[in-house]
Amino acid sequence: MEAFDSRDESGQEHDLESGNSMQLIAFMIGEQVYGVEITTVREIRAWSGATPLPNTHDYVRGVINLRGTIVPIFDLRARFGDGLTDTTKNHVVVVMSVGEKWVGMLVDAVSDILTISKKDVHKVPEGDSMDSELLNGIVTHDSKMVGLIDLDAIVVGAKIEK
Amino acid sequence: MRVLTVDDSPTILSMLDHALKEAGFEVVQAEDGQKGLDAMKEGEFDVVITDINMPVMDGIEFIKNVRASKANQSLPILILTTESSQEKRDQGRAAGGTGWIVKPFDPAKLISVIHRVVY
Amino acid sequence: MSELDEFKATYFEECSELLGDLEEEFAAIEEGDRDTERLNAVFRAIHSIKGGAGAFGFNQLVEFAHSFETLLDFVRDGRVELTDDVVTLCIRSIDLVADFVGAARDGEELASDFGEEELARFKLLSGEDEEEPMEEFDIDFTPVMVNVGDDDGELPAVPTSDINDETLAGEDENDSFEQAPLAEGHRYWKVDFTPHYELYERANDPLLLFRELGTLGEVEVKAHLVKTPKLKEFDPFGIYCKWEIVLRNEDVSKEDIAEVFEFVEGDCELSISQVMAEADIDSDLVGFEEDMAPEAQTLETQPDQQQELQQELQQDLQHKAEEEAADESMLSLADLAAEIEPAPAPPVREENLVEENKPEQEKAKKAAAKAPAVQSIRVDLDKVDRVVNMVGELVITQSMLNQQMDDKIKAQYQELVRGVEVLAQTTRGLQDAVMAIRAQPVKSVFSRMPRLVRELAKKTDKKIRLEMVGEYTEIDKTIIEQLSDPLTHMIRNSADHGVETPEKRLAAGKSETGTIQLSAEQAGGNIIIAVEDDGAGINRERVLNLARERGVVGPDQQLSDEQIDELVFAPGFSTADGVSDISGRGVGMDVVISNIKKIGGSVHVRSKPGKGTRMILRLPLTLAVLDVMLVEAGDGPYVIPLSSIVETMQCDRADFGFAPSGRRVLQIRGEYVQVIDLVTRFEMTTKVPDNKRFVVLCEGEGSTKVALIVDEIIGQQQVVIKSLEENFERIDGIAGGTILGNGEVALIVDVAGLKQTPEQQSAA
Repeated sequence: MEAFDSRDESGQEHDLESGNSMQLIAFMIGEQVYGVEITTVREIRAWSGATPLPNTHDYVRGVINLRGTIVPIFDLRARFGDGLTDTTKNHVVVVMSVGEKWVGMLVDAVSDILTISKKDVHKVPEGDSMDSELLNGIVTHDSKMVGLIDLDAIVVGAKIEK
Repeated sequence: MRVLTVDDSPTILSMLDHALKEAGFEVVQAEDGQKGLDAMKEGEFDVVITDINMPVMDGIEFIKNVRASKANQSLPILILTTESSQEKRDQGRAAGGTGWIVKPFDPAKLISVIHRVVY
Repeated sequence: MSELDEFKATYFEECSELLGDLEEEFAAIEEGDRDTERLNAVFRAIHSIKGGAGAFGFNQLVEFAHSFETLLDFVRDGRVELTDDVVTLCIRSIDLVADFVGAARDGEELASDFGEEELARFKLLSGEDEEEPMEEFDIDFTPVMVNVGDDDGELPAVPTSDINDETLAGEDENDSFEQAPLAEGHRYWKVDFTPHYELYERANDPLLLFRELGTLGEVEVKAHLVKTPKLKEFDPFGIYCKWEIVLRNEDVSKEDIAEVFEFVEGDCELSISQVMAEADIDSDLVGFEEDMAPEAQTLETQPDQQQELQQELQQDLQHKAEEEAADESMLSLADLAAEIEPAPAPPVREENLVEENKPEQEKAKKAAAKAPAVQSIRVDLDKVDRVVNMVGELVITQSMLNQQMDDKIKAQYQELVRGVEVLAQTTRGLQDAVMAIRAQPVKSVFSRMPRLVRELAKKTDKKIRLEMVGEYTEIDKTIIEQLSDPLTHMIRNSADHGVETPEKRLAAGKSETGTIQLSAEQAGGNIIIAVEDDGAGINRERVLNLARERGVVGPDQQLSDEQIDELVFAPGFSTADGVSDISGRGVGMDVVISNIKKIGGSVHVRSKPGKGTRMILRLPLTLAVLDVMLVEAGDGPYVIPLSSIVETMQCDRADFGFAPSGRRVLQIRGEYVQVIDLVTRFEMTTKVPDNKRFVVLCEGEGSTKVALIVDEIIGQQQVVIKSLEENFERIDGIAGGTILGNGEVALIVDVAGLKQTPEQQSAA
């Protein structure tokens, strides 16, 4: 958690304000670290099941009740093609806003808040099936590769069209 | 300062409401003369603004009724009018109207007219 | 939304109400009802529309409404006779006003000659010359010139003294009038003002006028007591003063000053004159002195007796104080006198007063009972919706509580049981009350239809009369908003394809004029809206041929009469031989129908050849809360709207068979019903053995049934409908979601959406 508070590192705050850097919520799926911009995150809650939705892809785990509104849950592991998450109560749902909509992402754990410099974000290598489709970029932090999730791409096409 | 506004048009009522509240008045609305009288039973007002053409009880009747009560003899009553002819205005004045406001009104003008009849 | 936009929204809402009222009033007038109150009502409505239009600068609308209003005014006072022609013109003009309003709302400019013909007729009827001018604020001020001083002219000239002049307003408390340094050649305004008794009767107040004058420039105001009565003769509204005001601002025009006195015109003597400072100052003073009250005379005759003067002043002030006190006490005494006049020597006055007031109060009460003054407030729909939603949640929590009470609890905690029962009742009541807030008479939609029918009749050269029944039936506002399109389509359909031309009608032995009846009624938890015409009925042969032509129906598929009738609503179907410019435009009937289904409604059509067609729209009373049956299928909870459920049964008691196509069907009371297994339909799995599962027999539209197979029936309850689209997207066969008492989400089955269309069926 050494990077939890970005202001520990000199110059970071200035960067933050000048818009050259961004803060990410980093979460784990297996060993892989993914991140989304912190401003999109609405809420982090423990997994407590979801009502399955018919006629949707497997990775749509269903819908949950978030204080009176119905929010769909995407299983990120399954979305990246690694099969359904074997859920426990230790799994976490990160609720974020995608445009006007709120969606939940089922992940293994939230690991960190990272401050990265935008210029350190690299393009996703072409041809890497799912990654190139679902990531906005890759950034290296503490010698670990963090995939920046393209939320719009995750959400689109969840319904099975007949 | 409490103002009673009497008009059957919600548009006019809401515009009056806005202009008057902006100027710091307390506003009570009534949709016709009868409701205006009812409102006056409920509370006291510093000035009354009333339309003339209204269903149930029109503005002229309303003013006459208000003035009929001794307690309201010095209550300023402003007539809302779009009538270009003097006729309605004169009828309103004959019934005891203090002055008039011409629709469409400019909020600043409205307030200045009120100050012409209320302390 | 900006304030202006909000006002505009209020205005357009008001307009649509007023236009509806106008339609209604003129419908009665057209029938021959010439009640003056009706004429007053139409006048007021047009007047209000004009008033608001003026506020927003909708000039075209103002102009038209103004001429219309003038005509109505003439009609109202009998100057113009209300002939059938004039009525027709008025009805037509209402449509035009509606167009002007619509254009204003959409920010469009209508052609400059739009409504020109009607405008010309208004003017012709009202007499061009007599038309009242549009200018609203025409200050036509003729000051009453009074030579102040002449009346009291017999008083000798005396030097001005501070004592008998009261400085009533102006920043300058000292009476420095004559010492004011006026540059030579400077002009100032001199206003002589003598109020009449009426000025006070209308609650005008000189002080306020002086204060307003003060906003124009430096003013000095002098009051001259004209005559001071004795206390017992003192009338608090009496006029004992007149005023002289000097306004030192050359830049002010006479009109500016006149405007200040605008409201008291006729209630006073007023003269406004401009005088040269240097030239006038002396004579002016003389003028003032001439006005002096008698007291001044005393001063003059004993100018050096300062002490007496002081005493005089003292007395004067005292006198004034008494007068002021009298002012108040006189008022209340007068009141009391009026109130208690008939009461002889009341022992306790206040009690008596109360007693005497009683009949008054009762009278007032009676008056109130006679004219029930319905008080209303306008509330943002969002706010109502929040309440509706919360009540919905409350209803659900309450039903959840109910479910939690097993027999053991019931036996053990009787008080709790009673409490929950009361809660249930109260919640129901609360729910009804809240729903009533959202409910509105369907009249708001119905009232748009007469115009439509008129236009349709004109375009199709048919004679059509519209009858409306039950327009005060109330229904949820949201549903009302959804009603306009379907009703328009249904009525167009009736006018286009139902009602025949006058010739055909006569040939068929019918009256020349066709009738379309639009009716609304409440039936249980539904509102039934019907459009019925006495036309030729649906031409089934033609419909079927067209349907086959367009591939809506397979070549060998046999349909019952009812099924053929229902084809009118099928996607991509129109019975119009040539595309008429009425029915052929805009959204198709199928889209309209699917919108109706989305809000839980259904549409049916029944037709009798040669007799007419009846289209029936069945709608839920409210959208907010749904009575459902909670079931389980696969791994999730589902709810099925109770309104679509016919009956339920266990699978081992049901009579299943197979259709020639190999599809499973349920045979019930001689009817074969399509079977849909929710688990397979939704691609789930279940461990419940077939014979332990349940059939939920549902009715889709057109009374066609469908048998849903579910794993378990849990029970009935009420749910609040939640949108799935808000955060996700629409899913076929799912109408939305809801949150159960335990916080879990259940999906609402869209029975109509599950069913396959005839097309799919024939393809299978």
